[in-house]
Amino acid sequence: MNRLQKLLILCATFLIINTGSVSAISNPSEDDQIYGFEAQWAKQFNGGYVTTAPLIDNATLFVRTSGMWVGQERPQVFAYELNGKELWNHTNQNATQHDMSPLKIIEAGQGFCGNWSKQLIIAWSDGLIESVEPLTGLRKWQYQSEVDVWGITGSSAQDEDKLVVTTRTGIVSLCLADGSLIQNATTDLGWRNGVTITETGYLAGDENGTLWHLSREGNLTSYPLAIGKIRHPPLITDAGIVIHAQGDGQSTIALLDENYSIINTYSSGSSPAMPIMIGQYLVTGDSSELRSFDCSNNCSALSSLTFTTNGEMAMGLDGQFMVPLNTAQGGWKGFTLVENGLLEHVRGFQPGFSTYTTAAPAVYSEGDSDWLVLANDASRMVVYWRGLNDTQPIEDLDENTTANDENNNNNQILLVVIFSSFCAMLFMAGKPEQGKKFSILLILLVAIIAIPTLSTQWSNKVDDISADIGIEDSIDGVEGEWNQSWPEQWQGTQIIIIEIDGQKQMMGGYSGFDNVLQLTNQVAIDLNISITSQQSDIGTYVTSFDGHQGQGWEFFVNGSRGSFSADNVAIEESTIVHWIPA
Amino acid sequence: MFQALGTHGPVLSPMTSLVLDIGLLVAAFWLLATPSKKSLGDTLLLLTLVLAVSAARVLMQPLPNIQPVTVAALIIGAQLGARRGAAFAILVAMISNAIIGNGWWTIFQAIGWASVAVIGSKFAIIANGELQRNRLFVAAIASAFVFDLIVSFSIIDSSTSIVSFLTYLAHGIPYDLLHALGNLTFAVWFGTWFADVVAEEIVVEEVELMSEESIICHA
Repeated sequence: MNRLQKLLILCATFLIINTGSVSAISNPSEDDQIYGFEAQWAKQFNGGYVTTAPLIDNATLFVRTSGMWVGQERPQVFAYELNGKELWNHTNQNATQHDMSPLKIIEAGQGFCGNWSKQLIIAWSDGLIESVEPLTGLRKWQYQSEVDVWGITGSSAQDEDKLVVTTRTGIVSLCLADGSLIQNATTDLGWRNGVTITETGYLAGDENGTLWHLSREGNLTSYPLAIGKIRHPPLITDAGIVIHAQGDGQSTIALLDENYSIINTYSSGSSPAMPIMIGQYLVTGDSSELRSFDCSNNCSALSSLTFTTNGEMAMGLDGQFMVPLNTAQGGWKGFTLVENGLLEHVRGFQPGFSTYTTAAPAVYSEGDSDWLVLANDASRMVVYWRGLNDTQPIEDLDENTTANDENNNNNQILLVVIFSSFCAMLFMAGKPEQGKKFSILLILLVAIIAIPTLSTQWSNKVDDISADIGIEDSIDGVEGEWNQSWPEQWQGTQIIIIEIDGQKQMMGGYSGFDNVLQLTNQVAIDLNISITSQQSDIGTYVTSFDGHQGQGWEFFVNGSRGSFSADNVAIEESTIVHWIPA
Repeated sequence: MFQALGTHGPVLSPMTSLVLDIGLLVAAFWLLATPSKKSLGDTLLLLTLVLAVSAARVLMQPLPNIQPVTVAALIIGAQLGARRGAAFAILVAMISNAIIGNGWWTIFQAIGWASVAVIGSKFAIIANGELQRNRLFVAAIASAFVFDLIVSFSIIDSSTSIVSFLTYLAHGIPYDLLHALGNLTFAVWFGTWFADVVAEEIVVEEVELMSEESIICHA
């Protein structure tokens, strides 16, 4: 094998892999059609992870990378326009630990310590706190906090004219105008222990499970809770203060009263995520479950779903909150709290790449456009857009960060032409063996490019043939066609039948639901039927209706047995879904 | 035991997953514990192959159903025998799935690739120390379908009828063909080289073993 051949193999391998990954991100393929969103551009950062949510403010996107840096690479903060044009990036050469402190925008204002303009706060794992101008990245001020192996990993908060930050060794408050130190209190060591502003001062936890209260007058008080490590900003609820503490192999969700005494606790799974409040409801997550609590009174447990999440959760669009799935499959799942605060899985967001995921998404709405930014532990970020009209918002795309359909297709055609020519030359040059080798590579390349389209068409064909020759896996009593006894207004709409204990409960007249699970969830609400579902690597499975679990549940769409999980079976406007016990 | 039923079989509880992994590991070590003596170098070679092919599988994961493990299992089965080929297959399935995603399907993938290794050992791909390229190509294509069929069994549960299973298989034919094409490409490009790599190392080990035995005899 000569050097040219080796070089070509290398190029081919690179191009094949590159073609696959780029098309997954940039082509609005089925995978990328995330419920009306279309992939606009993607960015693969050089190293590390994205473990904190990107931030969108005034049509500017900010994102930071994190990691344990041992080579030349270091963590960075980037700012982009929403069309993908990079505004600036900033590298911290001294930060070598995990940078998990969320980026924070501070609006312009004035206070006792001076006036300040709009600023982006970046806190680093080397203890540096920076205030930069959001559009240029130019530094306004900085403050160096104490470091013990690492520096800042928790979230910061604004208290009028002060920025309050939990450092590695305590709590500091800085003047937003110039970064001058106002307060500096020493606590035990912390990690990812963000700060919460209260009426009386600041609350933060530490690795020893102690809750600290720093009053604005400077009085520091500790409250040892002995329930595990406190790795999130304490949550203030109507029922009291909530902490989800990390223990050994388990975690404890504790409700504290105004004196910081534990009122009640709830044991849960290991490695808790950062809990969030949605109205009166508390949502917690860990390696085992996602849970909801009603914190209007005493934070009573409401519901739980099997799930693995260990990072951030955040509100998304359409009234959902989005939770990263921290498994090899990764991605994000959208949930809502239905009546009485019960958790309900709505849909999954799997943007064509699968890896562990801990960062919450960023969402942004402007005019008729909604933006969704997803970034994962593989340091890959994808920006999605949806609009009320069909006009693409991005016309002037950055060539380095965007590959549109046309360019992608051109690249693929160019690649095929080059390879074909090369194969032909080898045959003509009397080297048939080499020609065959490159020809097989060419065929494989074409097959990889064509397989998504081919397999979809093939599957449709298989379904058509199955229907034509009547080898449907029919089950007696499954409703697959219009029934004359149904209300006339259900004609042409989405209809669902749920058969529980031999009793058929049916509803119709629905429209606009994209998949079986969405429709089922809505109908269950309307019929007041409780649903439990099971997350798995390949989708969501309904495990019980009204507590009836049996041997499992299966569904039929227009009489055909569902081949995939309920959230992965698309439905049309005129569809009959029939659920029966397996 | 099982937490739920899914399209790819039951979703495993952590305990079941642990038991499954231990079972596969025991199977792999049992297969490696052959009556004949194996040198440290021999074991290290197999371990290196396991790690390298696992890494290749993980790296090629973005490519749909391109499985470098299949041809590797075929050739290792042919060169090192069915037992070590099957052990290789089990270990690669376990290690690569630890990164890609572990589950009920791991056991079927392990069985699938172990079966491919057995095919490799029985199909006379290596004859008189020479790789029979045409036989390798045929076996590489056939192995794709054998492996995919075995892995497809993972979807079967009490509610799966023959018709629905056949429909499922029919849906997957394009990906089976792509697997076969990928195997053929690997075999064409790397088959001879990979067979030589495995064979060369064994020869060296055997020479060393023979030398040691010779020294012992002289002593």
